[in-house]
Amino acid sequence: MRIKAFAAVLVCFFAIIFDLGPVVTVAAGASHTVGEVESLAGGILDYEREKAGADSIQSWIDGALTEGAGLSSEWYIVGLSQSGERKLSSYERALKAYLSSDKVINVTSQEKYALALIAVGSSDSFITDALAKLDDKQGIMSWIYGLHIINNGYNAPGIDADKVADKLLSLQLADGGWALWGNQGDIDVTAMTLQAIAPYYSSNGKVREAVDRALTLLSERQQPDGGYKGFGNDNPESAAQVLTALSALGIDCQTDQRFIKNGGDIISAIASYRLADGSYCHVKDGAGNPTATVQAYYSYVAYIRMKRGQSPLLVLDNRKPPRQEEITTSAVVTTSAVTTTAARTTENIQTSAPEGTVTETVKETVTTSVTSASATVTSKATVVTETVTATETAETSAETSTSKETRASIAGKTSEGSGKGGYKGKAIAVICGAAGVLAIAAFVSGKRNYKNFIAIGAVAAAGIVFVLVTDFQSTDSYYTGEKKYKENAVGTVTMTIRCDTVADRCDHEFIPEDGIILDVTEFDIEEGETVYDILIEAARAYRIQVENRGSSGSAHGMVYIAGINYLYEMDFGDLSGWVYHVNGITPSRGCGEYELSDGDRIEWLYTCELGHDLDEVYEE
Amino acid sequence: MRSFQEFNPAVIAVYFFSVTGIAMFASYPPFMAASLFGGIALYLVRNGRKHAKSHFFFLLLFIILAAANPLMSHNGVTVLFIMNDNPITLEALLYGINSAAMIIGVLYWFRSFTQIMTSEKLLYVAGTLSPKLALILSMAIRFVPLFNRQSKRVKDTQTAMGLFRDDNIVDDVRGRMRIFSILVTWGLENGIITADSMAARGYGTGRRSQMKRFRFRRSDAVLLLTTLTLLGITVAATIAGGLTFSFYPAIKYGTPGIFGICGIAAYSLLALLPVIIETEVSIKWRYLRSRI
Repeated sequence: MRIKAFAAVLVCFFAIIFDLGPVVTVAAGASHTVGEVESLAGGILDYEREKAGADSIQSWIDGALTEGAGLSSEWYIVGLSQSGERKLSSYERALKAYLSSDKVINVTSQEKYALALIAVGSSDSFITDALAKLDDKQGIMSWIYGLHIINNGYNAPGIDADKVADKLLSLQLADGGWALWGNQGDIDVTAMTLQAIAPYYSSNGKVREAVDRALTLLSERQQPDGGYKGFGNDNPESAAQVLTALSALGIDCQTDQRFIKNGGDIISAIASYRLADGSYCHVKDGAGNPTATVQAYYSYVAYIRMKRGQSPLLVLDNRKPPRQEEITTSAVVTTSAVTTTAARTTENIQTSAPEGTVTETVKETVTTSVTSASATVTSKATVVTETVTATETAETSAETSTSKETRASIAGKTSEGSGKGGYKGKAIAVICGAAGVLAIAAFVSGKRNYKNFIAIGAVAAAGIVFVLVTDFQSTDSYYTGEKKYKENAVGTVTMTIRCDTVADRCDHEFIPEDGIILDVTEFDIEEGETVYDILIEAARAYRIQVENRGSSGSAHGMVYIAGINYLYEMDFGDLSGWVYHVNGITPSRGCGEYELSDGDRIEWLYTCELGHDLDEVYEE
Repeated sequence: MRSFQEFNPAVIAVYFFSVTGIAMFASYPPFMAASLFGGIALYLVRNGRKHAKSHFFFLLLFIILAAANPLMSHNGVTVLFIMNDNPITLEALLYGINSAAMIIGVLYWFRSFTQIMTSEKLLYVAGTLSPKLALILSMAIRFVPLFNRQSKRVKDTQTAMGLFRDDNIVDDVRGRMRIFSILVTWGLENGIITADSMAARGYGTGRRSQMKRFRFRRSDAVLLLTTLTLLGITVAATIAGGLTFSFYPAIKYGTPGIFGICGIAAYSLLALLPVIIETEVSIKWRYLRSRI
């Protein structure tokens, strides 16, 4: 009997578990797939686009976002840039114009614009200048932003990742959080700090300990519906900041039990503020709020990037930090001094901060101006991890020279084409060395006629000339996969490469069936750039094979394009080959001589009859 | 039992033109390898360690020819590196190696050809077809050793007169250039003198006669038949056996069927025929001598 009763209890127990199991999963996991999060983010873009009256994302960027450069567009630009959007040049020009008027004096704002500049692929000196202004007089927000800039590979004299991270850790409160003032951690500021120090989680023990304490706080303070309270009431912005921070740390808020409450997870909490028109409200059942909307948008982007194994939201794919040589020397010296100054600064901040009431405006400025940080623990953002390693090297080994080299090599990897030409010095040195050895050998073996040495010198000179006129590049560094960033762009042109004339009459596996090798694509141009330059830029960006003959590097630009995409001249009869049109007109010059102007339309076309099978209009 | 060079000149000529003809017109890598290997092997079997220095020259030529193609042609999908905005590709390099193998292989065949086909044999073969062509050919071929001898003579004379300095590179090169210039002048003059001399001796006034008799024996027939059979199989296999190989833009080759493999085997055998004959002869010869 006893056994029977025990068995009955056991059966009941299992039955309950099996019955409840699915129910529990459903309750806790009204979870969103990556695709659903993408459509949530897309919904916000659609809302903003329609609000601006634009019919495509591109026209929204070129229109409303460009007009709002420096005012309201920055976080959309960061989010768009991190979602793979690349045609941001109109916004970039507008932002630079805005910044050149020197309206921005606040260091935190300058750092925010610096991040926007990094997002559009600029390496303007503004970025380093903004970072260099970081000092103990500034508040916590500027340190957070400064660390974001550093996470993108930038450095300023006396300011490096260790120093800024130490500074932020020293500001941590007893409850594990961070705040602008007071003794209680604020959700937004805590999440923003986590975003900035996230890349150092795996490499820095102190950071790990601090992050874990902060995560405990965030988990405890999460509301039953999965969202967060900021300054007393539930709002989506705080939840969005936490989502961005968790994503930066590589934590999936939909699977990590610490951040799933009965009522749902963070994403479902944010999504519950969504209004019918696609915007987000600040308080439940309120009106649409631009801040809530944009923060929801970039937190979704951050989550999607985490799920795809990409870098955190504010470690920007477009970053192009300049080569840094002089940075670490002072950094190592100052690290020890930081701890002492840090304590003092904490006092300063706490005393100088206003006590008492909190206004909505303060809240707004704080939340708009912050976002997430660097490499997650699991992320494949190797560059950042290397930066971290380099920092460690600087700390552990006192040899600053090694860390300088490591940093220089990182900078070389990230900044395009900076390694180019580096081999030439070595090659010339090898030639000179070989010539020297030969000369000594000739001297020792008694062939001391001066003409021997003249001959050796002449051969060495020929070798050096050969090295100087040729330019060898590795495949990876040549095919960059992205368009060249142009600091002084004077306009944009479009280019397309087509071979319609032969598309339907061959079984060539490399000729596309629709005849389009490169669809109409926009390129920035600098002063004096030619059709040839843009073709080579396209070849490098989209890995299109191009064979040129002639002296492309010479002043006259006498260059002939023999083949594109393995389709060559004379492949289809003696009269076949590549020609180019600009604005529908056939120029009577070589493509290396044709200088472009803003708005030009380049077409590369394959002809089988010396151009007569194309719509030709000859240049006057 | 005859060595390869003692066969009837007509048969030898047919053999050489078959093997080099395939090498030149079918750009199929296995054929190139067989031709290169057979050509070098024949030359080595016939000459041993003589002219060892010349092999370095041909090796250098091979490397230059192979490297020149990727610098000129940038077709191909496997990019090795980029030079002056043009991709240097693996396909172009392999194509260069293939054509270098063809050129060097054919050059080696003709080195042996000029050694075996003396002017007399050449006149015998071509004389019946076109005596004038035969004469021009034999005179052209004769010029190479003639120039060699004459250049040595000129150099010796210059050295004896103290005009040729070789203690430094610059004067050495200049001296050689002077010798070359002298040689060219001498060659032109010699050509006129030869023509006058031949006219004076009554060349072309009657039918050509041979000093040596070349008989057509049964072994000649066997060699001729073997050559033509192998040639036939190779040509047929090239046309119908799926022996296709294209380098650009990506390397693509058809899998040869049984017929194709027969073709490759036939050409390999054809290219090795003289080496086989020479080896057989030398083994027999050694065997006979060992019994004395």
